[in-house]
This record gives sequence, structure tokens and C-alpha cells, in this order.
Amino acid sequence: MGKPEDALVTLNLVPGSEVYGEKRISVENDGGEKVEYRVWNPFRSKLAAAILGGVDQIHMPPGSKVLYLGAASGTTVSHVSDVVGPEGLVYAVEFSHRSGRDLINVAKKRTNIIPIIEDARHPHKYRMLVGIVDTIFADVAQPDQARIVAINAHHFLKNGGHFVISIKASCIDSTAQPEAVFASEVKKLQADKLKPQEQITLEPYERDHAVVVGVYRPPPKQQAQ
Amino acid sequence: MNFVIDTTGDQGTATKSLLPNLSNTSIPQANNSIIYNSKAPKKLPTFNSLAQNDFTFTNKKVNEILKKSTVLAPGFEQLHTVPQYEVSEKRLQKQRRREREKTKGKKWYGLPATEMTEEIKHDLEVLQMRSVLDPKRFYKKNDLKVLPKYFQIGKVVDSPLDYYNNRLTRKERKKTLVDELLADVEFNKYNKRKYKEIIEERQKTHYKAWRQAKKLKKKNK
Ligand SMILES: C[S@@+](CC[C@H](N)C(=O)[O-])C[C@H]1O[C@@H](n2cnc3c(N)ncnc32)[C@H](O)[C@@H]1O
Repeated sequence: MGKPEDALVTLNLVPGSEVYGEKRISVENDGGEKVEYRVWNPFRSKLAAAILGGVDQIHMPPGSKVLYLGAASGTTVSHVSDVVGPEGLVYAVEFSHRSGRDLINVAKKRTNIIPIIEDARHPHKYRMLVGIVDTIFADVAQPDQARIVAINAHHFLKNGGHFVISIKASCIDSTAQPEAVFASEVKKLQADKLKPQEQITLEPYERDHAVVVGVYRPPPKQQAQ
Repeated sequence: MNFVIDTTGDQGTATKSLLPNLSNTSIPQANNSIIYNSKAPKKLPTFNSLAQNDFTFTNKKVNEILKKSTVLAPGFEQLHTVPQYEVSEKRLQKQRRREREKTKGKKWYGLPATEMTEEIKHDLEVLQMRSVLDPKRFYKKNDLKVLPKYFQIGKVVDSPLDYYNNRLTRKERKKTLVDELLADVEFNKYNKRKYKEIIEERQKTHYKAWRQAKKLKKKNK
């Protein structure tokens, strides 16, 4: 028989359709109205791993606007799209055209995703498409990720907005200790007014990965507290 | 296999692992009391005149008017008291709170408080103790010590992708988790063995304790 399985799920913005072969769970309410949830696999998404790892906040409440750097084929992006809901927006940046094709297909069904096939190192190229956002999520897996996040924050992130970034130690320095890499990345962020608030590693879902969550230019009042 | 979807606290995001949360408090009952309708008084005179001269109104018209009245609802004559016209602010607050407590709120896209039947309660209890169901499986620890209040029960949508694993045949599929467990031969075997082990272990320790107590008694004499 099917033994119980724990799973993280998001409320499907587009009931009846899956994005990457994920399991769905359908629920019929008393009123006969149907809703559907999609299983979010922490082994396939660093954001899901961070949530199950117990991160306090991902700063993506319903209705919020998120700039997502390193969208790939849009698997995680689709769950972020569920989470921010019909009143939210996800600007999904990906520079690989191959992944970009899948991403565009995901965005066709999910109108709150705006796919942007550009290099996240050059935010001026997509500044006409993107408004001010509440949160930046980055998973570009590049050695200069901290800088990429910083220039995007300067362009689009509201003061007091948040960032959530996934750091893969081996992508930045494959010879140094992961902890040392995380610490040096955090330092770089701080220099750009990105103030880290929380850091967790993604064990057991990913090795030598950390997720750092923080706030951008917090208002002075909050700083005093 | 049933799934339960549930939430924790007010952290503001609609993502959370499956198991439990919140207090075990009873589910608010729908408030069926009659609610004052500001339009109603205007209709009342019509009702009175109806009592005086029945003939001037066609039944149809009366029924139409009565339909709009929330005060003169069917069964009005059977009420012990005339429902209150003015509803106090306190009462309104209470009503609003009751309405609010029916779901987990906007930040959870209205995750409802599901009615707790005996069957559902048993299934939730099994889920809370899921760590002992299978010695080879490990689960996240429970978010909640009590049974959840806001949760939904759904069915896994069969996907042609996983026809090869983990799918229950129509015959194996049962209405509740408890029914499924009882129908599971392997689980029952394991369960029986464990039960026997526990009983034997207890007898052993009880016997030892009993003998020790006897020895002590002898010494004290
Ligand atoms: C680790 S994958 C992201 C996986 C994705 N976040 C998910 O969870 O489904 C990193 C992605 O970032 C993209 N990427 C790397 N550098 C980039 C850049 N400068 N601008 C935009 N995308 C970039 C890569 O093409 C790759 O698809």
C-alpha cells in the first residue's frame, strides 16, 4: 500500500496542469469547488530545500513581486508563481536560450510569470520590462553571483526589500572550505547594502550549498530597533 | 491514499510541509441565526395588510415579497421571540470573528477549517504517529503537537508517469488511511510481531520487578 509521505505543496495556480511531471493532489471542498496542490520536491529546488530546512521567511507573500535570477526551465519559478498567486508577479531571468524555451512555455499558462531571456549581469537590458520588486531570488550558480544580485538590487529592489540567494560553494571557489566561501560571499553582499539576516545550509538535499536571506537598505527606523 | 494539507502559524507564505498545526479547538459552527436586514421594515406593512385583506394580493406577489425578507423567513411563526433588529457591535464582532476563523485567511488562499469527523480524526492521528508505521521510513517531525484545525484532504492525481510504482489498484484503494492500514497484510504482520514483543518485554520486566519487590519485603521482615 502507499505509506504516508511528507510533502511540501503549493496551491496550483492553473488547476489541472502540471509543469515538470510533479505529483498533484486534488481536493474537493464542501461546496463542490475543486482546488489542486502541486508537490514541490526539495531535491529539485533549492528554494524548497530551504523551506524544508526551516528557513524563517522567503519573503514571497501572496501578491508580491519577485525578480528571479537564474530561472532555468522554470520548475522552481512555477512554484514561486503559485506562492505569489494571481495578484503577484515573477520576473524570471534566464540567459540560456535552450532553458529559456521551456521557461516561455511555462509562462504561457501562468500569466503572472514574465520570462526574460537576458544576461542577469546587464539589468539595463531588461529595465523596461521590470518594475520595482519586493524580493530578489538568485540561483545563477556563477562566481560573480554576489555582484549580479547587487546590480539587480540597485536597479529594481525596493528599500527594505529582501533577497534570497542560493550559494553553491564549488561554483565560487572549488578549493576553499564551503564555510569560508559562504562567509566571503556574505561580506560581499554587506558591502552592497545587502544585509544578511539568516543563513542555512541545504543538507540533506544539497551538498555544500547555503541559502542566505537578508534585507536591502533597511529603513533607519528598523535599524535602530 | 489520502493527503492532508495543512499550515503552520502566520508566517505569511502559503508553503509549508504537510503535517499538523494549530489548536484542537472545536470548529466554529455556521451561524444560522437570522440576520437583521435593513430593507426588511419597509416590507413589514405589506405583510400586515396581507393579514387584513387576503384577496387584494395574489399569492405570487406575496411570496415574491416574502422571499426578500430575511426577518419573515419560513418558520417565523414558530420562533419563540422576534429576532433582534439591532445587532450590537459586540455581536457583529463575534460574527465577523467566527466568519474569519472558518479559513486560515488570505495569506493561505483561504485554507479552510475542515470539519473533524471521527474518521478524519483517526486518520490524522495515524499521520501524527506515522513514524512508527514503517521501520524503514523516516519522516519530518511534526510541526504540531495537537491535531490541525486548518487542513484539506485530497487525492493524489494519478499520473501516467508513475504507473510503475506506488500506485494502488482499485481494490487496494480504501476510503480512509485506517482502512488502508488494516487491509495491509505486511503492516499487520509487522504490527502483530511488535505487539507480541512489547507484551513479552513487559512481562519480563514486570516479573523482575515483582521478584525484586518480594526480596525486599523478605529483607525488611
Ligand atoms: C542552478 S540553475 C537554476 C535552477 C533553477 N533556479 C531551479 O531551481 O529550477 C542556474 C541557472 O542560471 C542560469 N544563469 C547562469 N548565469 C546567468 C546569468 N548571468 N544570467 C541569467 N541566467 C544565468 C543558467 O543558465 C542556469 O539555468
